[in-house]
Parts: sequence; structure tokens; C-alpha cells
Amino acid sequence: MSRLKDSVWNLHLSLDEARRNEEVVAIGESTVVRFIDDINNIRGANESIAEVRAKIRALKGLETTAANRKQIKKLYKQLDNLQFIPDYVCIVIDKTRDFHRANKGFYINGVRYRRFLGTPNGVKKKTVVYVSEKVYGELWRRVENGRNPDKELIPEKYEAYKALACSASIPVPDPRKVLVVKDCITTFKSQVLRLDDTGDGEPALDLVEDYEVALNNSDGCGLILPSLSLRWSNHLGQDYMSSGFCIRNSFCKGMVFCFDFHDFADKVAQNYMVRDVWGNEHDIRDVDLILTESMLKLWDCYDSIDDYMRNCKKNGYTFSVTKSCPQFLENERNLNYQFIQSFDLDDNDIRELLAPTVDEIHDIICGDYRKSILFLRGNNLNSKNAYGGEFDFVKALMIDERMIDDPFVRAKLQHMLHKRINDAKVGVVKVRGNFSIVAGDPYALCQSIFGLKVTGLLKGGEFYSKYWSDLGVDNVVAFRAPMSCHNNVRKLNIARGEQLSYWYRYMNVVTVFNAWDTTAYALNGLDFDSDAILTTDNAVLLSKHKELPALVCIQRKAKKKIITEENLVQANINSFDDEIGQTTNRITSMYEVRSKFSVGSDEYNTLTYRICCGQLFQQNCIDKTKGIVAKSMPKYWYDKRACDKDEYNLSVLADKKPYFMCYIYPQLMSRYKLYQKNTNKKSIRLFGLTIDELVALEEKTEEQREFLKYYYQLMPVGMNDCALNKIAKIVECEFNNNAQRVANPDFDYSILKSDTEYNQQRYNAVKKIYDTYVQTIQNYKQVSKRTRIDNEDAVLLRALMIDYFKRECFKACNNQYELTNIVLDICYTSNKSKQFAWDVCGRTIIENLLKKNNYIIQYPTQDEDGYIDFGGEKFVMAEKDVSDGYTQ
Amino acid sequence: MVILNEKEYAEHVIKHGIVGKKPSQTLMILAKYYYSLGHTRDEIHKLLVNFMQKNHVGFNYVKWSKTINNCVKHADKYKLLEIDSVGITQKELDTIARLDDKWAERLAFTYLCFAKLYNVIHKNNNNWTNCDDSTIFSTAKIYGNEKSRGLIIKTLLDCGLISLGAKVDNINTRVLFIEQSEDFVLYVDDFRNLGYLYSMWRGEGFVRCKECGLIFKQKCDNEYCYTCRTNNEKKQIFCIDCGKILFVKKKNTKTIRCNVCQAKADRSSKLEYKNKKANQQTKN
Repeated sequence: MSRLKDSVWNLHLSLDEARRNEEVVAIGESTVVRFIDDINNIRGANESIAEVRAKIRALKGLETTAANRKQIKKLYKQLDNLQFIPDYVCIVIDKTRDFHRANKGFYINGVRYRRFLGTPNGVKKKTVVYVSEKVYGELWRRVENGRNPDKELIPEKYEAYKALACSASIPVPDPRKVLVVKDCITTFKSQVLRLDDTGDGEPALDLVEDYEVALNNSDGCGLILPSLSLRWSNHLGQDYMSSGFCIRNSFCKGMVFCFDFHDFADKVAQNYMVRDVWGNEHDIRDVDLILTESMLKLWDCYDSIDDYMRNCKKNGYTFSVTKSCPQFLENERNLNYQFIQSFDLDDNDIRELLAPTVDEIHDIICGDYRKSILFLRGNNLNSKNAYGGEFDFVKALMIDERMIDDPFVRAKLQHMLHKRINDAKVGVVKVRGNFSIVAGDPYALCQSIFGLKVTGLLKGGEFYSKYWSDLGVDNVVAFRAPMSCHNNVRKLNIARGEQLSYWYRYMNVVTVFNAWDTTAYALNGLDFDSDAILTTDNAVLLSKHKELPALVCIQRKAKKKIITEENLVQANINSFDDEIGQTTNRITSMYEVRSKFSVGSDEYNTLTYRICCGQLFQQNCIDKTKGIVAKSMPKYWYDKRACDKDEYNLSVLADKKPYFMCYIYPQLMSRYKLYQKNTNKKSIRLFGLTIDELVALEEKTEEQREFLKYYYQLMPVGMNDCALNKIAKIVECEFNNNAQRVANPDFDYSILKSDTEYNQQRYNAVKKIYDTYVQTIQNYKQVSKRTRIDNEDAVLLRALMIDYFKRECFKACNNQYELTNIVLDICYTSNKSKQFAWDVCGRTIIENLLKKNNYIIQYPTQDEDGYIDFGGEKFVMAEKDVSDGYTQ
Repeated sequence: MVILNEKEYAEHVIKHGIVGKKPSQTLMILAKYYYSLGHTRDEIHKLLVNFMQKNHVGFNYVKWSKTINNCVKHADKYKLLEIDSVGITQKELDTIARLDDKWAERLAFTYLCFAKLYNVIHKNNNNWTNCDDSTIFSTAKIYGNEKSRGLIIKTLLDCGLISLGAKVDNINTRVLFIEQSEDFVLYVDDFRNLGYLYSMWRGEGFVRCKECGLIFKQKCDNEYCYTCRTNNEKKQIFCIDCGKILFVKKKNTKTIRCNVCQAKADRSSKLEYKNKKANQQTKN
């Protein structure tokens, strides 16, 4: 935003300049992108892009000449013209005042832009989408999709529904007929903990024995017929029939699970006529796809399904898929600190929980290249998947084992190892289990559709999971992020039976929830619109799990309004300041403080109560973004100054992040290290002893005792023995010697090169690009040291940066073999980073290595009689000839 | 780097186009300098951008805009420093000499100089120094690990020459032996090697470089410091386009421009060649 402001709201910026400034962003192909292409009469862009890319690839194989370099420049420009969408701009808002100014319109390269919408994830990061005036009117009309504009809606929700058109998705063939039905609501009584903050003071937490629960068993999910599922799977290029699809359409979002409702009509309902949400009758035999009212958000803005579908057709909307269920579920998955923090674990439990992770790290430390491959590529390598993936150093290791001596490979492995150890310190711990998408009981939904008594196939407390059922596991623990207290962890009983296997036969990788208990409430308000849960049969977690009642927060409803631009702008502003992360961190701090009190003490109980209230305050943070006036966490729970020197409040104050969080927040780590360094210096200056020596000193003077008292008191992080701090300290002890670097052995990098020669002029040109790259990386590293960069943003930024440097290099030298030799000579003759060589010429390096190794790769594969032990399993080295299609 | 006379430094960097190792420090000094000359904020902004465009290779305004805006914003917050020297009295030097420990003496002298400097900069400084350890010890020319350095400070503490901040992690130091009198016997105008300056005053075989004024330990009657000796083997030329000072090897007769100007010249000659060729082709 400051860029626009500095240029007096009339910015002139070329694409190359924007790329250099890191102001180009990559977006997925969404309905909005397709609409913009359509409005601009762009057809078959993907085919043209593929064609240009093929031409560029061909040029990379030709000799470097002035003509070829000119041609490659021209082709890159063509590629830019095809890929770049000047009509779509994402603006990061610095100040609300500037946001209001921007909404009056601004110019980039002479084109006027107008506010279009703010996506839920975007506005959290203060980013709003603007589109050019040229496409604005038509785009707005299409996205509105002929809805009744006089209907009152909640602006924040409406903005989010509209933003569904910005989700990256792949269009799929139209179903024959779509049915929209009422949600399947079940009511039952259950014991819950009710949190109510409508009164004055702290929230009231009451245990209610017979709380009347109304559960939406189809919240965000619908059904898809197996025949349509197969059609869509084929269309998406899958060689299996998917268990479900996460779909989008105009104001429509959710999961559709594969269920044969025609069979249900035949065998159970014995009736084919059903009523939709508008009260119209339909023959189920004509229907392929059933949506629920919770999926089609603005169903009441249309007269009927025909009205809705007519509008969709008129405006170019089709059903599209954002993700589909995988063929198989994973066998291992990592926990995170939120999942572990609520467990009461002693040292033995922690050691047992950490054992697989620690063993894995020890396996990699030994330096065996075969184990490194297993760590980097997983345990399930076989002839089909061994050669897949990127052209990176792992592939190189599979081709030539001498690559283990490559300084780049060694540094990379060391870095990954370091990262893995640090991850383990923050609770990223390997367990048997997986993330699976959750569905409400589709049988119960069908009963509701056909007007039968809703019973469902699963009773209260029962869950269906084919994965665990096949493994013979009866109980698993389930987690869903974000979670704050132990009430959010549930033990699931896995149900089996012929009926279940028959009716859920197409839902192989889905966990089906029953319609008769509070598990969805307990899992922090889970719904079925593609929410996933982590389930594991880990013995420690199962044995330490305590069954606690679900927390139910009294919900407030936002006011509905007629949608106007002013309402939507205000909705964006309301969402700018997202406090949910802060609230979640304060709850984590409370666990750390609680660990210093004995179970049952007043302080322990107070902190347990405050932790439970955390869920309510998380909910309130979300409500605030919807414009609802909601209470924040009381300040004296986390701010020393608000405690008014009240001793009790000070004793249970959670004002510091726990120690383990140093490994998550670089700034916190810097503060902690600086504190340690300065107190150590001070201790030496005052007493001639380091802090460790002072702590170990048996007879301390009054002054020394006083010093240590304040040393612990003013520590910037909480050092109490909560589960996660214990994990961090155990992992630190286990791997504290890993920091020692081993000298690199000699490595002859000529094995990566080809015979092609190059001249000095081209070397100089590439060297110049390399120097800029080094400078850019240095700047980026400085920023990343100071701030925590979102993983997704980092990946995106890196991909764009690599693309930029790749283009620049090929513009300077179009022949890939020549360029590879130049880049290798630049990178491998100094101590500077070699990442550049692998980023720019990874593909050619792999090709050169393959040529020298007769196109044979070696990879470890599971074998009961294997001679390589890794992660408790045995492996042998297998070979594969990749001479066919080695560059694909 | 401690700059006593920021006005002189600003004029030097503008004249010779030096961005320095810490461009943000240079920009801040330039912003204060331009402000002292009566320029408006907008003008200062433009002048700083121009300076960077001219002298910083690979300058990208978007990435520097935050720093530049920050410098412009704070240009009027602090005064441009124009300190010629910091004076030391005989009594202060005598107090230091009584320590009778080479390293402790050097450190006490360094603390004294810094405390006096901060007293000049901030009127309410009260003899405190809040310089980081690396600056203090590198200017005091004391080497060693954290513990050995800490023990030297402990000596000064035990002798009552300094005191430390009250908080456990506060390592700021207050000098307790500063004299209020102005009977100075030693004037410190260069904060580069304070430890050597003290040793030179004690007559320990240190001399000032004839070229740059840096104090160094004299070996074999050398009159120039290491850098100047090395530079002397080079010759100084001026870029024919921008006038920037360049150091080139004595035998180098080819270089006539700085890197930036040479790149510009290369580009224009290339363009000229292309146009010439194109003209020839059209004629043919």
C-alpha cells in the first residue's frame, strides 16, 4: 500500500521490475481467473503455455548463439503474456486510512483498479483483492450469480462466500441433476461443560448433565453417486474412484462423499420421491449429486434449484473440485505441540513417545547415504515412485553414491537434520496414524432425505474407519487443530460390521462420525466440509487420555444486513486484526505455569479453568472478525501490570511464552539467547563465575542468591516442566553434540558436468546473475532471522525467485549443458552456496549424472530379509533403469 | 565505527560516493546533514535516493524505501555531531595508571573515553556507556574469551572505577572516576584504537600512521599502518565520469572508470556498435 501511496496512487511498474521487487504473486487457477480469461476472450491459455514451454525446452538443447538467446528472450516474454494477469492485484493494507483511499480507486500502469473482495485467509494478513475497472462490472455480475440482492445477510460471511470463487479448483463435468436438501439435525441429551460469558466478570463454566444437544450431522457435506464419482475421478486423471470431493460452485462449498443413495432408495426407503429444501418434489433416480443447505450457503436467495442452476449456466459457473480424497491413507504422521500439551506425561511417557523420532534421527546421523534417502523420500519407495519428484540432490544420491561427499549434499543433509531435531523439540513427533477427512453419517442423512426416522448406522461413541478396522485396532485418539484443552481430545471406538462395510464401501479413506454424541463439539466445533482429524493408536496417548465432557460455548449471532460496498469494506477492516494466534499462545503459556503447581491445588484448578475458557476466547476472536461485540481474555490473566500487585493473580500469571517456543519464534530465541549472554556476562563481572558455575556453587552469598532469584524471575521464557518443555530438554540432551561439523571430504564436481565448453564472456554474464542471487538470499536470510515467515509464503516466494533467476540465466546462455558447466564452475570453486546450481540446473545435473551411470538408479525398498535397518524396518537396495523418459 | 564529526563524514561520503559497510548508518548521517542545511523532508528523501542510485550497486528503491523513509522521518530527532575531540585530565590518567595492569588500564581508558563522548552527546548521560562489548573491546584492543574479558571488568569493579546497571541482564557501565575539571592533558579525536592510544601515551612504542592517523604498533620503523602500506603499493586515480576515488595497482594503466560507470560505458558502446551494424546492413 505504501508503494501506491508514494506514487500518489498512480504507480508505473513493469513486470520485470515487479519481479525484481518480489511484487509478483502466484495464484491458483480459480473460478475468478477463468472468468477474467473469459471476459478478456482468452481461450486455451494452458495449451499455449505448454507449447511455449516446449519451445523453450528445445532451445535449451541448442548451441548458445545471439539468435537463440534472442529467441529464448522472446519466448519468455510470450510466456509472461500468457501467464500474467494484469487485471488481478493483491494489495497489502498498512493503514485503514489508506485502505479507504485505495477504495476510491487507484492506477497501476494507467489502469484503474477497484476493490473486489477480501478472502478469509487474505484479510487475516491484511491483503485485499482489487481488479481492473475493465473487468470489474462483468466479474461482479458473474460472481453475484443473479442472487436476490434484497435478502439480508451477514456481510463478513457474504464476503467469505463470494471469496469461494477465488479457491484454486479444477472444473468437473456437470452432474445430471442436483438436489439440495435440508440438513440432517439430530437432538439428544449429553453431559457438557457450558461456557457462558454473557454475565459480568469471568466466564461461567458449568457442568450440565442433560444438555439438549442439536447436532448437524451433515454440516457442510453432501452425497455423490458412485457413477459420478468415477466420472469425476477419471476427469481428474486419477486411476481410482475417490471417496469424496471437496467442491465449489457459486456460493457453494463442502465435501460430497461417495454413497449409493439409489441403492438406499431401493433397499431401505423403497421410495424414489424426495422433497428439496424449497419444498419441490424430485425423483431421486434422476439425481447424481445431493447438496445440503449448509453447503449451498445462499440457497434462500434463489427460487429453486432450476433457478440456481440457470444462473450458474448463464454466468459460466460450473462445479469444480479443490481437492479429492487420496487413494490410501499414510501410515505415519507427526503430532504437533497443540496435540501433546494437554497430556499429563512423565519422563518415561515422553521417552516412549519420542522413541521412533529419536531412533529415526540417530539413523540419519550415522551418515549412511541409503538411510538419508529413506529419511528424505520415506519408507515406501518402489519401482513406481522411486524416480518421481523433483530434480534434486536426493535423486542424485540415488544415481551416484559418491554424491554423499558433495559439500552441497552434506550441508543440505546437515540442515535437514538440524531442522528435524528442532522440530522434535517443539513436539513434531512421529506416531502411527494419519489425517483423514471426516464425514457425518451418510446413512442418517439419507434417512432424513427420505423422511424416515433418523437412526444412522453408528451408535453414540462409535466411528467408522476402514483403515483402522482393517488393522484390527479398536480404539484411537483423535485430534483436530486448533485445539486448546484436553476436552478437545477424543478417544474413538472403531465400529465394525457387515452393514457398515456395505453402506460405507466407497468411503475407504474417510472417518465417519455418528450422529449421536458430542465428538464434533469436542473437536473444537468440527464440521464436515473437508475438515480432517489426526487419528493415532499410539499406546502412550491412548493410556494417558482422559475422557472429559465437551465444551459448549454460548454463541452470539451477527446482525444481518442488506449487502452494500460500505458493509463489505467494514467487514474487511473487522477481519484485519486477527487475535486468535495470541489467544492460543496464552493458553499454551498457562499449561507451562500450571506445571509448577500440584494437581488439585487452587492455582492448578484456576489455571485449568482458564485453559478451558481459552476455547471461548478463541471463538470470541472469530466472532470479532464478524463484527460481533465479544469479550477478550481478561488482561490480568496474561499481563503483569493488570494484576495490581495481587499476589494470587501474579502467581498464576501467564505472561511468558514457554521455553520450547523459542524454536518456533526466531525473535523469542534471540531474546532468550541475549538474556542468557548478558546475565552470564554480568555474573562473571560481579562474581567471577559463569551462571552455570554460580548455580552449581554450594555456598552462596546473599548477593549471589539475590542475583539468581532475579535471574529466574526475569527470564523472558517460561522454564517450568510442562510436557513440551520436557520434550525440548530431552531432545536437546539427546542431540547436543550434533552441532559439531565434520570437515567436508574431497569431492570432484566434474562428475556433475558434461563435455560442453563455454567462453569467458558468458561465464561473466552468469556470474553477474549469481552475485545478484547471493545478495538476494542474504537479504532474505536477514529478514527470516528477525521474523517468522509463513511456510506457504516462503515456498511461494522461493519458487518465484528461482523462476526469475532461471530465466535470467537462460537469457544469458540458452544451452543448458553449457550453462550447467558455467554454474558449477562458479558455485563449486568457492565456499559460497551451491543451491544456485541445483535450483537453476538441477535437471541437467541429474541428466549428466545419469549419462555417466548408464541411466541406473539405486533406491532402498522394504524387504523382510533386508540388510539396512531404518525406523524399525528392514530394506534392501534395488535398481531401476530410467533410460526411458528420464527427464520427465 | 564511532564518528565524532558527522558533518565532515557526510561531506566526505558525498564527495567520494562511499556507501560504507553500514549503508543505513551512512543514510542516517546524510539525512541529519541535509536537515542541518535546511532541506525539507521531501528534498532529503530525493537526495538520499539519488545518493543510493548513484553509489550503491544493485540499488532497489522498493527494498530500501523503509530504511530511507525511516532516516528522513528521524532526521530532525538527533543533532548532527560535530565533536572535535574528547579531553582527558591528568588526574583521570593517574587513576588509571594506579591499576598497574596493562589490560585493565586499556579498558578503563576506553570506558572513560566513551563515557565522556556520551556525556557530550547527551547532556543527562551521567557518565554511562551503553556501547556493546565488541565495540569496547575491539577499540580497547583487548582479545580473549568472554570469561577473561569479564574478569578484567571485575578488576575495575573491585577497584571502584566503574559500576554496572542494577538489572540482572543490564551490562551498561557507569564510569566513576570522571573529573569535572577542564585541565585536559590528552585530546582524543580518533576512536579507532583507544587501547593503543593509551599505550602510546604511556610511551609503549605505538605511533600514528602518517597517512591516515591510525595508531599502530611500530615495527622496523614503519611510518604507515598496514592498510596504508598496502594502499601505497597501489595508486589512486579518479573515475573520469563521476570523479570517485579508485585504488588500482601501480602498473594498471587500463582502468579509468569505477565499476558502475564502466558498466554504463560498456552498455553504450555496445549499443553504438549494434546501431552501426544495423546501419551498415540497411546500406547494403
